[in-house]
Formats: sequence, structure tokens, C-alpha cells
Amino acid sequence: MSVSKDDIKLFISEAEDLIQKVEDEIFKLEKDPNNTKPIQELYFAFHTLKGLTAMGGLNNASKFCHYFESFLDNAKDKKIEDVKQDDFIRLLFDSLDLLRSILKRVKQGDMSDIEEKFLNSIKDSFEEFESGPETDISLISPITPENFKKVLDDKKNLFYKIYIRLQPTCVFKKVRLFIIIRALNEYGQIFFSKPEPHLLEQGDIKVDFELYYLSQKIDKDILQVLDEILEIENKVITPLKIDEVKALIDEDITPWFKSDKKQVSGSKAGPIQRSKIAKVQKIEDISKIVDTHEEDAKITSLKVDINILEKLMNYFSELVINKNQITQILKNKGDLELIRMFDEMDKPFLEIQEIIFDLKLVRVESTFRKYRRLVRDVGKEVGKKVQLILEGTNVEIDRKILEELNSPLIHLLRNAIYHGIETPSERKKQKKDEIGTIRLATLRKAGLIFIEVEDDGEGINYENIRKKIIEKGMYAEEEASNLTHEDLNRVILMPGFSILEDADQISGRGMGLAIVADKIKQLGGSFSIQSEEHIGTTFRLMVPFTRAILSAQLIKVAGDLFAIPTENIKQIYLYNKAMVESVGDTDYYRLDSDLIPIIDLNQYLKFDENNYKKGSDTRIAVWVKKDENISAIFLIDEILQQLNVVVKPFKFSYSDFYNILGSTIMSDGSICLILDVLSIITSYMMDNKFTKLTSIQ
Amino acid sequence: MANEKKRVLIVDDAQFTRNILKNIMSKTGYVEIVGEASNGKEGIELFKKLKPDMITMDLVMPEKGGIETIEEILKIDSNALIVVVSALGQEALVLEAAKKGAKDFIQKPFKTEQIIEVLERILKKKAK
Repeated sequence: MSVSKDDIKLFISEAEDLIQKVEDEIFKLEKDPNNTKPIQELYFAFHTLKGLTAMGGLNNASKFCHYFESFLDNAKDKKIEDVKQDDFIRLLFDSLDLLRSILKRVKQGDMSDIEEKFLNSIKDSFEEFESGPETDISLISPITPENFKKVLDDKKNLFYKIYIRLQPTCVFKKVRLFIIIRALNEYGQIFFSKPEPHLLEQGDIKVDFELYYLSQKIDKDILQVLDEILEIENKVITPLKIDEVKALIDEDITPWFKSDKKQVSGSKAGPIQRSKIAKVQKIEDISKIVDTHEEDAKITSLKVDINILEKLMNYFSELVINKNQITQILKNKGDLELIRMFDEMDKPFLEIQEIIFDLKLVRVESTFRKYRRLVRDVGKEVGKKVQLILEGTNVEIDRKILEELNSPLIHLLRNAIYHGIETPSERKKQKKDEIGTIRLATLRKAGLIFIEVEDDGEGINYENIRKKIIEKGMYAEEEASNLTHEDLNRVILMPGFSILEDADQISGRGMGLAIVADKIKQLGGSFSIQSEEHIGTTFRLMVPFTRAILSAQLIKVAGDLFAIPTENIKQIYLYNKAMVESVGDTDYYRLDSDLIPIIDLNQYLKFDENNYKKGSDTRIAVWVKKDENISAIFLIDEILQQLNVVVKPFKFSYSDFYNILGSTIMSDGSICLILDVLSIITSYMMDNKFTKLTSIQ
Repeated sequence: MANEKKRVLIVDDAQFTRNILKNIMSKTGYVEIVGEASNGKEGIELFKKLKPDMITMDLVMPEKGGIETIEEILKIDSNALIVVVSALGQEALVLEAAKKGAKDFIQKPFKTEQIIEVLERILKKKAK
């Protein structure tokens, strides 16, 4: 059977959905381990994945999913033990990574399967969950001094010591022991063993062992039970006197039982830890071939190299500027024919621009979702409980910028976990929820992306920072004590500042907050900190969402040149004073039956009052409309030509205040600000500058 | 009595293994191979039809694996005597099979004496 390209595409998209589903459900399960619903959902997801991978010819991957399916099938109705919950979640996550890595290979056209060894690892891992010491303890139930009396009450009860030596060729000792213990427990109860029960149940024996057995059968019958079992080389059954049993309880069972309960050093702790280590190593085998978080964040679904796209974009930008310059020259020369020809080029120019624009935009979700995992893993690493809440994941941003944001954001998230979020016990003390919360919120406004990384942790200890900067000789004592929190926030971002003396994980990674700030600056953005002790810290990033080309309407307000995105403009009118109606403090422009609020750009940009009045007779009304809610008439002084301009991020601190989308360089080399008219309307509404229209029709 | 041979069903996807098992068991004189199945599905069908005294069961097979097959056979008859014949390195699977209710197990490659031991210890004792 040959598989077509379309089939593979379908395979990839279905598998991607399922893998995402698996991840979502793991998070749900981790959050609420008592809930069996995620297990149920995981079961179905793995079942479907099993079929899908099998159809795709990935037989081992299919088997891999099958193990999950059957394990989850068993686990559906019962809760996974608390002790194992963490390891189980980890196994799920690592397996998820493995599946992702396979899918990644498939995307690159490589249909090779999971290696056999991972199948075995995963199988063994499940084995650990299913037959861990906890479940096996039931096979051997120790007699305690308390229930010994009860046992003695029944005069028919007999005690035995059973010595068994296995054949030296016996390989599957664990299974062999299971079969022996199971057979004996059918006719009685094994109450102790040497080696001690936990070792025995792990198959941790050489060839021989002793079982202490309580039964109402005579020794001949017991022998017969053992006779039916393979691989037993030798067996000796010795009846025990009650005194001997008592001595055993006092000297061996009780101490063992107690050490077990305390779970400290004693005989029990050793082997359990050993088996845990073995398990973790197995899982790490799986992790080895999967990607790191950093690599994971690369957006790979695009077939074209992102750098090529970036180059294309840059050349196109240059082309647009050149074309504008030529048009300007032609206008000066008055060559109408050539001007017309150049104008005809506008349409293909726009089309190309839109295509490039679309290709470059991607939802932040694709990258940010992966941070949930990072936060979880790092939290585990340092023994903190942290959850990541994502907001505004549907915001679209330039791929390149999103990628560039990856490492600063990872740094900020790590920073929040290491230094922000407190340990669970500390949080309890402070009456906070044991689970710390980090909020990663994204907002697009005024041609910029605002990202907040907010934690509800310790907050910055400003006094400590004061001490540090004095110690480091960055400031004199007096100077330092005069610094406000805001000043100190800036100090933190200075190169060379680190709260921690030693190279810890963060500085060890060679990226302090200063580097984050620097990176954001390179992207044409800005970075700020806000923090309150014991309440939390918020890092704010502001970056342009693209370096794109925009079709802009050039306008003049009080003699200065500005631009408005053409796509926002619905209609342009000659301003007619007679159309103005005042309601409360707000002027409205009447267009047919509609009343549209007026925003005078001259006023908005706070230009000279006199200048505004002078020009008021010959003004232009630009109707900007996005939808029913966001709609306004902008009053301007002069309307000029429309142009395709290259948007450069505008870096002044008040750009946000004035809602400036960006700037562009004109053909004569001057700078023109592009106004984000939609945001201006929104900010007017938020400031309640518009009188509510609802009362007047 | 002498004529009352023990009836054995062999479930294994490899013809080669089935043949060896068959040869060894038939030579004892007290075992009759009543059926051979190359996968779990067939195995279950034959079990229902033949009601053998013992089943040898491979674990990894197409159609239906050994674990599932063991489960289903024991559902039909909880006293069914199933001996797993597994490949090396399948301890987890064999343990699973034991937990599902397989009576015992041997590993491939097996020696003639091991098969004889299985018959002696497990099959002969079954006589009621």
C-alpha cells in the first residue's frame, strides 16, 4: 500500500491533535489526581493513536500506544497511588515527548519507527507501576504482636519455615517467586521471609530463600503444592513451634515492620530507593532521544526556512521604499504616464505584502503552551509547586519575534520559579495557596505585543538589593537609600547586577535579567519590572508584533505629517460644521441617521490651541470604523497620498500613551508617525470621554 | 487408564516451535496434541471446542496476544491450565501472564527435559 502525500498530511494533523489532547489531559490529571476522567480520556486518545500509528506503518509506535492503552484501561477504575503519581506523570510526559519526536521525524519525511529498546523500557516502566512494592506487600502479610494472639486462637493454625532453592538456571526470578507465593497463599498465608519481604518481592534473591508460612494444611500437602511448580531445585519444610514464631516476631518481623512504616534508613528504604533509581533511569532512556524545551519551541511546521522568509521580507521592504522614492521623483518631474504605470504596480505589491504578512504571523499559543511543561519540570526540580496560566494565547505575532522571545521568556519563567515562588511550606506559612501561580498573559495593542510574566511569589526584597548594590560598590550608601523602588528596578536590569553572589542555575546559564532587557531592546521593545514584597513580581515586555509593510494614508495635523492605516478608514469627508451635534461634552458627527463621536486629532495630540482654531474651517473628517463599537470621526487638517510604508517600531516611552503604531521613513528621509487609530478610540472609550449614546437613540 | 492420554492444545505463531513442542510431548506416550493454533483468536476457538487438559501459550502473536488470550480462556474456564512459553527478555509480560492466571511458564529456547518437567509436574498432577 502506497501512502500519498495527502495521507501523510492527514496523519500528521490527526496525530498532532491527539498528542495535544494527551498533553492537555496529563495536565488535568496532574492537577487533580483523584479525577479518573483524564485517565479515561487518555485511554481513548492512546487507543486512537494506536490505530493511527499502525495504519501509518509505525508498528512499534503502535505497540507503544497499546501498552499505554492497556495500562490505562486497568487504571481507569482505580486511582493511581499517590506515591507513584509523580513518576507516572513523568512517564506520561516523557512518552509524550517521544511521540512528538516521532511525529517530527514523520514531518521531515522520515517514517522510521520507535526503536525496540524503548518499547521494552516502557513495558518495564509499567511493570514497576503495576507490581511495585506496595501492591506486592499484600502477598506477604507480616504477623504483628497484636494479631498474633488472634492467630493463636485458632488451634488448627500451623506454622512452617519453608526453605526453597531455585534451579540456578532460573532467570525470571520475580515471576517464579510470584508463582510460588501465589500457590502457597492459596492454602494459607506467608507472613515473613528471608530475605525480607520487600527484597523477595522485587526478585532480589540469589537462589535460595526462606518463607514463613501459616496454614492449616499438613506439611505433606504443602510439599505437593510446591511439587507442581517448575524450577525449584530443593525444598525443605520445617514446622515451627509457637515460641519460635514469637521470637521471630520480636526479633525480625516487628523491627522490619517498624522500619518499613517509618520509611527511614532501615532495611526497607534501601532497596526501594534502588528500584526507584532503576525506574528513573529507564524513563531517562526514553527522554534521551527527545528534544529539550529550547529546541521544542522552534516552529517547524513551516516548510520554508524562516530565514529565507525574513530575507524575502527585507528585500520586499526595500523595494517598497524604492518604489515610493521613484514615484516621488516622477511626480516632481510631472511624468504622468510613468506615474500611472507605477500606480498599477500597487496591486501586486499589496498582494505580495499580504502573503508575506500571513506567512510571518503565528499564534503565540504554539510556543507558549510548551511553557506549561517547562514550568512544571523546573518546579519539580526545585521542589516547588507551580502552575502556569496562559492568557491571550490567540494573539498573533511575527514568527521571528516569537522565536526571539523564547529564551527571554524561558529565563523569566525560570526566574519566577527559582526566586519568585516560595516553597510549599513557606507559602502555607504565608497563608497562600500551596501551588504558586505564574501568569503569562499576551495582549496586542497599538501594533505592539505586551507580555506579562506575573508570579504570586516572594516579590523583590528591595532592602536586600540596596544592601547588595552598596556592597558591590555600585552606589554609595546615601545614594542607595534615596533610590525609589522604580530606580531599583532599573538597577536590577543593569549589566553585572545579580542578587545572588554565586553562579546559580540562572546566572550559570549566562543570562541575567539585564540580558533579557537587552534582548527585548534589540527587538525594538521595552522591558519593565513591578514588584511588591510577599505579593509577587510582574515582568512586562513590550515588543512590536511585526516589522511589516502597511498601507498608510498620510495626513497632516497642525502642519505635521502622520499616517493612518488605510485598512481602518471607512470614509473620508470634507468637514461640515452643520453636521455636528453636541450631546453632553461630546461632539457627534451626523452621517445619515447615525451619530458618530468626533475625535479631534489636533486636540488629541495636544497641539497648539490657536493653530487648531485657525484651521478649523477647511478640515477633513476621516471616518474610522472597525465595528459597531469602535467607530469615530477623526478631524484632521489635510489629507495627502496613500503609500505602502515599512513599519518600524517606535521606541519613545510615550508612544503607548499616544497610541502610536510605529514609525516609517519617508522617501525624503523624514520620519512619519503611524497612529493606531483603533486604540485611540478604545482609549477614549475607556476614559469615558464619550457620552453614552444609548439615551439619545 | 493407559489409553487415557492428556489432551494438549498448542498456541504459538511459529510453526517451528509448535512442531518441536508436539514432537517432545507426543513421544512421552501419555500426551495427545489435540490442536494447534497460530494466534490467540484461533486458540480461544479451539479451546472452546476441544476443552484440552493443558494449553501451552506463546505471548507475542498476531491477531490476539497471549495475555488477552489467557484472560479470555480463564473467563471461559477458570480452571484452565495454561503454561506460558515465552521468549527470553519478556519478564514483564510473563509476570503479567502469571498475574492474569497462567499456571506456570518456561522460556524459549527450552530443552526436552524442561517440557517433560512441565508435563510431569503440572499435567500429571491434574488427574483428579
